[in-house]
Amino acid sequence: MLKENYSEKEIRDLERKYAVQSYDTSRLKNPLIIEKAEGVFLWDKNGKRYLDFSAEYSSSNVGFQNKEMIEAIKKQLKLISVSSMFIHPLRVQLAELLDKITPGDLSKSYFGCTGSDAIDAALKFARKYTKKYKVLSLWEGYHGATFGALSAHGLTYARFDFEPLLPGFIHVSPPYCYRCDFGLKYPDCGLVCLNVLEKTIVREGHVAAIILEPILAGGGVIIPPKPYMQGLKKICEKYNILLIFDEVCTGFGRTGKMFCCEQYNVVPDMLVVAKGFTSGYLPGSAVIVSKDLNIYDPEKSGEPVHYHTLSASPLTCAVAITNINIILRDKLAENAAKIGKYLMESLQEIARESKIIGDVRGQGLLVGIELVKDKKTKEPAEKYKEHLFIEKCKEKGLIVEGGDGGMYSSVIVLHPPLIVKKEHIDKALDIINDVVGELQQK
Amino acid sequence: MEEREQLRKWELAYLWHPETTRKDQLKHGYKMITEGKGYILKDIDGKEYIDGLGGMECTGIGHGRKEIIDAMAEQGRKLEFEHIFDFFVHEPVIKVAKKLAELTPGDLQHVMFGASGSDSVEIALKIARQYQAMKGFPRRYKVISRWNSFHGVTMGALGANGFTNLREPFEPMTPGFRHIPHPSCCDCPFGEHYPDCNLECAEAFEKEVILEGPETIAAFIGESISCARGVQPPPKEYWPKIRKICNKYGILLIDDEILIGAGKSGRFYACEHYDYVPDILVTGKGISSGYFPISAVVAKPEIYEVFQDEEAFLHPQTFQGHPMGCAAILKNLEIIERENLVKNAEIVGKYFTEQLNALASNHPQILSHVTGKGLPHSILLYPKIGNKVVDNEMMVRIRERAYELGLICRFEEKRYIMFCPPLVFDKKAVNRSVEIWDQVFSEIEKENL
Repeated sequence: MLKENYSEKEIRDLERKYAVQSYDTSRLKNPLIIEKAEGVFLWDKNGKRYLDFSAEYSSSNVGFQNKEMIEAIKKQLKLISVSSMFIHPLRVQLAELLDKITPGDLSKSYFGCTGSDAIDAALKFARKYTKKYKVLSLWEGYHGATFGALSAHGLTYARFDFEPLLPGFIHVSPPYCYRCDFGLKYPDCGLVCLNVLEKTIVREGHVAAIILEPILAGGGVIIPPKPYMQGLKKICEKYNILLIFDEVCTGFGRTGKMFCCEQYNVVPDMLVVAKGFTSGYLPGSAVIVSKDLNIYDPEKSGEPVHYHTLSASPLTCAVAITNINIILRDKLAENAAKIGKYLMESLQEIARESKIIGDVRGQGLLVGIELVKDKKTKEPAEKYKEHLFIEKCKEKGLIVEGGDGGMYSSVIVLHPPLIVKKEHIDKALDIINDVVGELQQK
Repeated sequence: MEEREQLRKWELAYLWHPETTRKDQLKHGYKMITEGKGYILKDIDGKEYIDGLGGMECTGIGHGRKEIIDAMAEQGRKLEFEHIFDFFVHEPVIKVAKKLAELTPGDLQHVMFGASGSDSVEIALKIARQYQAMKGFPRRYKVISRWNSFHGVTMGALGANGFTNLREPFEPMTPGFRHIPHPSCCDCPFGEHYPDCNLECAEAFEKEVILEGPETIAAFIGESISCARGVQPPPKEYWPKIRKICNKYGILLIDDEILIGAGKSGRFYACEHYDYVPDILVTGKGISSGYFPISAVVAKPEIYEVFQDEEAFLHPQTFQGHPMGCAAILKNLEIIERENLVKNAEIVGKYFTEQLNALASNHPQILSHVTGKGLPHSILLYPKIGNKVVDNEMMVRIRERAYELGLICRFEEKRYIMFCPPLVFDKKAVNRSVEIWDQVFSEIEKENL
């Protein structure tokens, strides 16, 4: 029979024996074994406490062990947990809530299980609705792991082993102003990248949709300039192309507004959410589409679009509703804006004094620290420096994430739970300051 | 150094053969052909061979016809080349278009030229996709073809091609190509025996259409009689049935007559045997008897008309409708008509079938099936002769022994020996070919039985 308690060594050995892939995303020798979490903290097997500035890949917006969330799950479990065959009042209620909190005409919702699943759904909706098949996305963009999502994905390392991917997916340069593909400087550049995007659309033809993250989180917290996003919206209108925002990372208060698109005053035709949608208490995602987009014909029953057995379960709906209500009531987006500003400004101060931080950029509680070898030449820091940064933070009790690493990036990404307080930020800043100092000495 | 040694050295140093390794070249030596006349080819030693392949299935009128060379030379002296882009045109291309339109059955009428068979298949496939889009069906992009059908080697045509070995190194192919089993009555992929079958090979097409979704299918492409894995004339109901399925679901029917067309089957186009008219007919090889590389696509008016207002069909290639190529086609077709060569193919072809059947009954332990239509014929060998497995090595040996005895042919896909002689083939040539085979198989029997 199975043992009840394993030693740390046994757990590591069994992990190596049974895991199909590594869960050690920090690529370090001894990844953490986490057994407990509460608020903004994690505890490892030895009882050591960590400030979690990763929030499980930016999903835990309301923080860990939230009592109301746990109660909501318990309450719903006693009624019905899974049902995708019938209409459920909570699903309707959740859709209504999403209609209320999303901007503009965004109104109808599809519910899925994961971010990738929702991205696939949005891409399928776009093909079905427009009868066109091509999809334009940005290099350095992160869109998920399934074949559809991966085809839109713009991080080569994640795509490479699985090619050929779906036909009809085209990538263009991202508006990565710190490292412009065209060697230009914003705002004197005249947004050449947007111009190239438009030309690509014209040259390619058949473009059904453009998909992008309003802030490219995994690619290294790349923040498109406001005129870029507004120009993009105009291009979509001009060529009758659907605009899909992947707000899996940026949604539900992360950037200081409920949705990041509000930062740009741009309303997409489809908004894809996951992660913070349920704060990670259960897997859940959604695509909220414009009210004018008739993707299916309600008169034709059973018209297939995109279903999963476990999608839109009443349990997930209960969790999402509770989660959204907490974010609204506790003004977590406002907190993210205020505290995020303080975090950014403090980091910029550290960056000014440092030799290895080339750029600090962010919005709300999504902040990137780009490590370089040389601030003048912007030569990217070696990958091991990024790993060392993460490892040293961990030793000092702070969990941070590395960027997914596009073409250049050696970017440390911070996205703590939105309930984070100034005292937590100060503690994290102290640690980061120390780590930067130590890395500079090497 | 003797000239042939010098040539051989240069061959090995400079020439890249299209489907041969140097290892094989060194093993089997070379076959250096210097002259051709009618169905006879002569090698550098002056030894004569019956050209049982018709210069890779293209010559109809036979080798060394001065008349056609003169016609080409005359055209060359007057106008060796001019393109037909924009509004440019020349006399030979107009005359050939008219002639080809007249030779195709039904209302097939509008001719576009290509430079090779593959090229013409590409043209047909591109027409099909754009036609469907312009008719309001942009989602109809798929093309269904048959495994073991040959449709060329360029990246688009290769998608339709049904030979794994030709496709595999170059995958992924263009998306949207699907394959169904081939009608092959001598070794039915469904294990049936015509006529006691339900034409599963044709039904497979409708099933595939339904599974893939009719609204996604642009075209079906096949050879009326395919000759790439043995000569495989389908049952007479096959093509009418395919035609009906195409009509039912709005699918274009493309007939690839590159090999079998231009008279080889005993009709000018093999579709005439089956009493159906394709929407697009692709032709090549025999229309110029190989005197010039040129091919053509003939489409129905209802297809052509779609491209005549707003949006043209775009497939501009410099050498399309080359004047000297057109001169070659015109003279070739004139000779075929004048000498009644299509009829000859039918008559000599029947005699060929009889003689090969007699050969098969003389070697019942080696020869399993003889199939053919008109002049193209194939012999299927049993998998084993005595205890000897009929493998690639055995087939090469058989081919090379026939060559030694003065007959050129090839083998296809494992155990098919393939003949595709010129239209000028005669009973004497048939007799001599069969004699050679009789000798080859007798030797094999002696060795293995």
